[in-house]
Order: sequence, then C-alpha cells, then structure tokens
Amino acid sequence: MEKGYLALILHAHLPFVRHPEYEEFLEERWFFEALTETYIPFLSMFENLTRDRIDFYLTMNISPSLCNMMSDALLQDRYVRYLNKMIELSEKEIDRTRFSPDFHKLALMYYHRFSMTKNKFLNQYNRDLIEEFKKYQDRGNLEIITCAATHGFLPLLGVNPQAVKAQIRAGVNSYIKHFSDHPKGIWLPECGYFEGVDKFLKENHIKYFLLESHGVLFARPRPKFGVYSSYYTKNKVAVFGRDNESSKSVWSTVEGYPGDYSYREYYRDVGFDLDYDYIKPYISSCGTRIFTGIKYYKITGPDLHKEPYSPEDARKKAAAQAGNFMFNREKQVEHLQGLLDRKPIIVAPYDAELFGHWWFEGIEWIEFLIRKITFDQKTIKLTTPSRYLKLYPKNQVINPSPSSWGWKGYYEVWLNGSNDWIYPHLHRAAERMVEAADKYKHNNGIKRRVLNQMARELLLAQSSDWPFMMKTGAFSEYGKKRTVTHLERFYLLKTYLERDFYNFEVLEDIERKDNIFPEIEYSIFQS
Amino acid sequence: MKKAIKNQESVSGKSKSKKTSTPRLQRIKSQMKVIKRKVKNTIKRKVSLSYAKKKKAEIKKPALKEALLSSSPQSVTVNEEKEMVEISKFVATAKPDYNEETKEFNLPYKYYDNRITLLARDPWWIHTYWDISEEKISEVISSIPGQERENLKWTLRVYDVSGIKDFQSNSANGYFDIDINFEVNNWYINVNNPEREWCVEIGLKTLSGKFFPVARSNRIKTPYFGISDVLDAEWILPDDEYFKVLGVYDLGRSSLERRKKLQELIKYQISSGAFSPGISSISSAMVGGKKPRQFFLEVWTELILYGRTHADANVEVEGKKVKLKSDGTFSLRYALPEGNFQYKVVAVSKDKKDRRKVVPAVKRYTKK
Repeated sequence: MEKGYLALILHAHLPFVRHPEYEEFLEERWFFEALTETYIPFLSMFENLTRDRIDFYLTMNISPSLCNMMSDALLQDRYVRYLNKMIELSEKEIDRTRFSPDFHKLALMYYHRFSMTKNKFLNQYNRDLIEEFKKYQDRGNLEIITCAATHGFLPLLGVNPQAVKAQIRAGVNSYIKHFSDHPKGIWLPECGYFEGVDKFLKENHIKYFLLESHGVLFARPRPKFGVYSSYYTKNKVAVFGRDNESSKSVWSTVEGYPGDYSYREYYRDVGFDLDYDYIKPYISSCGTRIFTGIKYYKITGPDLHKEPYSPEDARKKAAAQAGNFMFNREKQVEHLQGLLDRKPIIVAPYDAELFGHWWFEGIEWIEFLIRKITFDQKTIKLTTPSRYLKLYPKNQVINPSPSSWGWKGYYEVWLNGSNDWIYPHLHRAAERMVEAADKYKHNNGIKRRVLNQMARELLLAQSSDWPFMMKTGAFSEYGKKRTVTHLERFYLLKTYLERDFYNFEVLEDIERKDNIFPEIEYSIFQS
Repeated sequence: MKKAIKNQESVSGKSKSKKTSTPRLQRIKSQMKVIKRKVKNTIKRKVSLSYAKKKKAEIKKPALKEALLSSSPQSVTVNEEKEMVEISKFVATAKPDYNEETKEFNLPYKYYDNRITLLARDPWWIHTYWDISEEKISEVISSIPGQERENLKWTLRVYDVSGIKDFQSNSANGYFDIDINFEVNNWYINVNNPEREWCVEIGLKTLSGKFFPVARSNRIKTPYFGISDVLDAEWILPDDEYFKVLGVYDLGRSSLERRKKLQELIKYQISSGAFSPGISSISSAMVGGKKPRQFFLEVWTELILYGRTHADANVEVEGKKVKLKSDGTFSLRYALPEGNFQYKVVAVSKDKKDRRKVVPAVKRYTKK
C-alpha cells in the first residue's frame, strides 16, 4: 500500500502569436519549436506508456491561448512549412557531416526527428493535437485543466473584478469548446493569487487551483499539513501548494538535473556556429542568426570548450536522475507520513516547455520516472489533484496568501519600472469594456461583432507575457508593441461603436489577425 | 550556473520594422508633444509648484525628513526613509520611458479622469498611479484660502485603514505623507507592513501643513508574510512536528526563538529569490539569445569539393551518389575535422562505357 502521492503538473502555455500580415514571423517559431520539442514528444511518451500498459496520472494545463494556436489552420500550415525547412536543413547536414562521424550520427538523429514529427503531425494526428491530448484525458491518464483566457496576471487586473471574471470565464469557455467537458481545475497564471479570486472560480464550478508554496504556507490560519495536503478556501474551492524540494531539483540552475554535463548544450546551435551563407536560408528572414534547434554539443563543463553530444550517455543520465528523484520523493513521503495523519501529496508543477525544449532530455526523464514509479517501488503513487480530493474530501479551510511563483514570490515581476505604465491603460480599457457590454446588451449584427472583437483585443492586451518580456528585456520591444497594438485596436473599435459608423474593411482585417476565441461572447464583461 | 534562463538579445526580426513613422503618426506625435507642453504650462501657472529639477534636491532636505518622520504614525525609521528617497529617485529617472512609449503609439497620454489607483506589489511595497485634470486641480485650489496658496506641495497621504469598514479621512488607524513629483504619475510606496489595508489620497499641502485632497484611491491589502500564529482548533499540529513537516531543524530551543529564526529564514529566501527562482511560465519556451560575454575564438574548416562532367553521367563520392545540376556540375560541402581524408570521385557515362576516377586527398591539422 502506498504511503503518499506525487502529482506532476505540467503548465503548457505560449502567448498568442500569429501574424497573417507577414509571410514569415520570427516569434511564431516559439510555437513551432515547442510543438516539435515538447508537445508532440509528450504525446509520443503517452503513446509509449499506453502501449506498455502503464497506468499513469499526470495533470496538464494547456492554456486557452495555446489551444487556440494548436487549432489554427494558418499556424498549422506554417508549422508544416517550418518542418519542411528543418528537414531540408538536416538533410544538408547529413551530407555536410559525412566525414565527421560524431556529428553525422546527430545529423541523422535530427533528420529522423523532424521527419517523424512531420509524419505524425500530418498522418497520425491529422494536425489536431488537441484531440490527441483529449484522448488521454478520456482514458483517465491525463487530467487537463484550464487557465485564464490569455494568461492575464489576475492580481494586477483585480482593480476591475469584471476583468478577472472575464479572463476566467473565457478560459473556461475555451476549455469547454476544445475538450467538450468542464475543467476540474485551473492554473492561475503565474500562480498569481489575490484574496477573492476563489469566488470567481467557484462561479465557474472549478474544483481546485494551485499555488506557490508560500501561498499555502502563509495562509491564515496555519495550514496543518504544510503544502502536503489539499485545503479549501472559504468559498470551498480546493487549493494545493507547490513542494519546494522537488521543484528545486528540476528548476534550479545550480543544483538542478538539467545542468548535467552529459546533457545537450542549449546555447550551441548550428544557427550560430555555421558559415553564414550556408545557414542563411534557415535563420531569420532578415538575416539575424537564431537558434535552429540543431545542436551538436553537450554541456561538457563550465568552460566554453564543448564536446560532441552523445544521446546514449545522456539517456543513461536521465534514467539515473529519474531514479534519484524517485528515491528522494520516497524518503520525503516516509518522513511526512510519520508526522501527518493522512497520506501526503507532493505537488510538483513545471513549465511544460522546460521539458524537451530547454532540457532536451527532460521528456525521457519523466518517462523513466513514471516507469520506475510503476515498477520499482511501492511507497509513492502518481496522482492528480482531483483524485486526491476524492480520497480526502474533508479539508481544513484556509485563507491563502496573495502570492505568485515569480521572482521574489509576489507581484514585482509584473509591476516594476519597466512595465508599470501598462496598468493605467489596461484598467481603463477594462472599464470601457464593461460599460460598453452593459450599454449594448443583447445586441446582434454588427454591434455584436464589434463588441466581441473588443473583448478579444482587451483579453490579448492583458496577457502577462507582455509585461514579463518588458521586465526581462528579451523581446521587450515585441511585448510593448503587442500591448499597445491591442489597446489601439480596442479603442478604434470603440469609436466605431459610439459613432455607429463602421469601416468593415478594417474590422475584418482586425478579426482576421486576432482570431483568438471564435466562440467569445462580449456579455462575459457585463457587470 | 550553466543555462541561466536569460537572454540578452531580442531577435524579434519583423516586429520593429513595419510601423515606423508614417506622416500621420509623426503628426500625432508632435501634436501630443504640444498638448503635453500645454498641460505642463497650465498646471505650472495655476499651482505655483516646483517640478522635476527641484524635486531630487528637495527630497533630501532635512526639513522633509523631519516632516516625514513626524507625520508617520508608525515611526518610520531612517532606513525606510532612505529607501523612500531612493525609490523616488528611481521613479523620476525611470519614468520618461513611459512617455516615449506612448508618444510613439497612438494611445491616450492621459485620461484626466481624476483618479488615483492603488496596487499591492508585495507585503512591503505598494504602487500607486494617478491621473488628474487641470479643472480638478483648479477646483481644489479655489477651496484653499488665498493666503495659503503659495508654495503648495503635491503630497500622497497614505492611510492605514485595516479593519475600518467605512473609511473617512479621520477614521484611519494612522497615516503618513510623501512629498511627490506630480508629473511622474506614479509612485512606489514602502509601507513595510504585510497584511494591512491601505488607501491613499493625492492632494496639495500648504506650508502650514494643511492637506487638501484631490482624489482618493481604492483600498488594497498587502499580501501576507510569515507562518500564521492563528491555529484552527480542529486542525492542529504541535509546533515541534510542524517544523519537521516544513523540513526545518536546528532553529533553537524556545518556540519563540524558533519562530523568529524561521521567519528570518523565510524572509531571506523570498527576497533573495531562492523561494521562487525566477520561474515564469514563458521563460522556458522562449529562451534565446546568448550567454554573457566571455572572450573566445573558434575556428572550423570545411572543404568544398566541386567539379563537372556530362550532365547525364553517374557520379559517386566515396560510394555515395551525387546529384548533378542540369549542366553536369556538382558542388559538395563537407565539414573538415582534423585528420587525413580522401574523397574518391568516380564518374560513369550514361551508357557505362566511360569511367573516370579522381581522388583528392587532404591532411587537416592545426599548427602547434
């Protein structure tokens, strides 16, 4: 009989990046790379486990904006085009490395990966990844949860309760549309919590959400089981806190697994290493060198000198580290079980994109971990939050602490000198949206179309990804541009509405560009 | 240490290029400048206040320090006050960026809706922004007795309203004032007090210290910090065991001592970022750019093998068939590592009657 549980939670999210107005758009590659390196490999992993009849339980948030990209025909076409290019490049690499066996082997590996990915995407999944993920939810292995519509950082939008409500409602509606079911849980964007969010979750029949460790640890009154149990908020929504120890071994850039010297080096990429004329067709169309995803070296050590990557060695390391992770969780559970009068749950949430994309061997690591947990021990079992709640339906009621899982644990990442200028605009726009939604109730025809598009523009402007980009400095121009562009479009549409005079060409153009949430109803903003 | 989740270079290829200055935009930009200047001037005229340049110097004046100290209900320490000064410097220097941004795009620069908004940043700091119209300012000034209108100072009054349901200015638990630069539009305030409720007013203060509010903010509560002392009778775990659950040992003997140490430990972890190591959902998907500068030289060699034959001939290099261009030429590119290499090139005519062989050989080494 098991003594405790491990809940692995994967948070898959990308901001909605889709630019039909350009033939090619660099930032769309985030999505293509994540598909190739993370989302499709996860599906392959589920496939392997199912084939081997391994019963696994995983929780995964596929954010509404990511769902909308996955189901978008234009991005699907562009993904195939991207894969074709990558296949072409890896073919060239096979030839080029013909007399360098270490690299030749890897070139073949990449060729195989890209061609297999294309084949799966087109022939096995018929481009429909959501349906594929849903399959594993229907089998009971995967618990897919939702997220706020565009990953808006709710604590800083909370000045307008309607804005928070709409983010959650639109996220739930998008989930229902894609998975034809009601979401059991929600991933609050960046684990951003403020007092009162639970009320909106309750209204949307959401059963649970997840918080950073101190969101639970600092709760009032003192939570009896630390982060190793479920709790209820006063609105009777369940809440789980992240376990710090298991997170650290994966996240930490110092002591974490991904830094192992046998693993693939992310920063050495043919996009930067190879002769410019040769690589030019495969980098940014404006000629800037970028990562292509073809990487030949292992981390090797702290110096710049790098040795060729060996997938076999790396695989062995991943297996050993999975064993180590399991062992530590067993010890942890044994320790806790003696202290608590219930079986503890260890909640370990990670960015899905950490696996495969950032930590190349991460998906193999998870697969090893699941297999080992199934066959090599009896102390811990995998679970999902809702399975745990079935086991322990009676829980202490707590008032969680406002918090986030960002740097320093509160709201500073999204509210500092680099990005605080967005909030006066976002808060006003939300108010204007609520006013308009109240004023034009039950409208049909053109007004409704305009109001729905205003709702899309506002949601897109609220995405937490833009202030995050401004803060980190990477892609900060793009983040600024997106915030401003969506607000501009919002206000333009608002003037149409007020003047009752419409430029259909412009409206259609905006609808075509920002086609997220086709199902949206502006009434979600009504007060 | 390895893969720091950071990237210096934005490689957003197209994002910058499209919308540069069209004539229309430029016109709007310059209009915006004019409007802003007008606003500045009118405000200056109406409220004989000193702005921007004077600000920094003013804040450092001892008189203000005293004012701050005396007006604060929570005995603001010198340290905190220093922080306030520091942050105000920060605000003043960081702000123009905002103006640049909005100028460039077509968003309203201001809304003039006479509002001040309050946001929590963490258990110790709150953020406020305001947007006040000239009409509102004149209205408030006209309510100030004529002889006191000289040397008015823009002030933020920060009220502790914890537990007060129907807050009136005189019903607060206490307040403190901050001298501000009106034009920066926002301020970070160090309240240094978790789990308390706050409200701010922006207003004008006379030389004699009378405060005339212009706008009042929403109420917020600073996030909690620390493990609660409040226990739930139904769900109690004794302290000793509780610390074990948290995985903290060797904190000391008395429970008071342990609590204090635990609190310090947690505070250190949180503010140093050790608790939440910069995790943010987007970072793993978008890592890019390059590692920090470190001088280096990397040299690689490649070999280009090219030639020509009959367009319909069959050509092989070291046993592997080569695709010919329509004019019978071919060009191959190989990575050339250290060592001895030979490349046997064989061409056979279409009718297989003619056969030619050439074997270029290369020794690649690095001079010591």
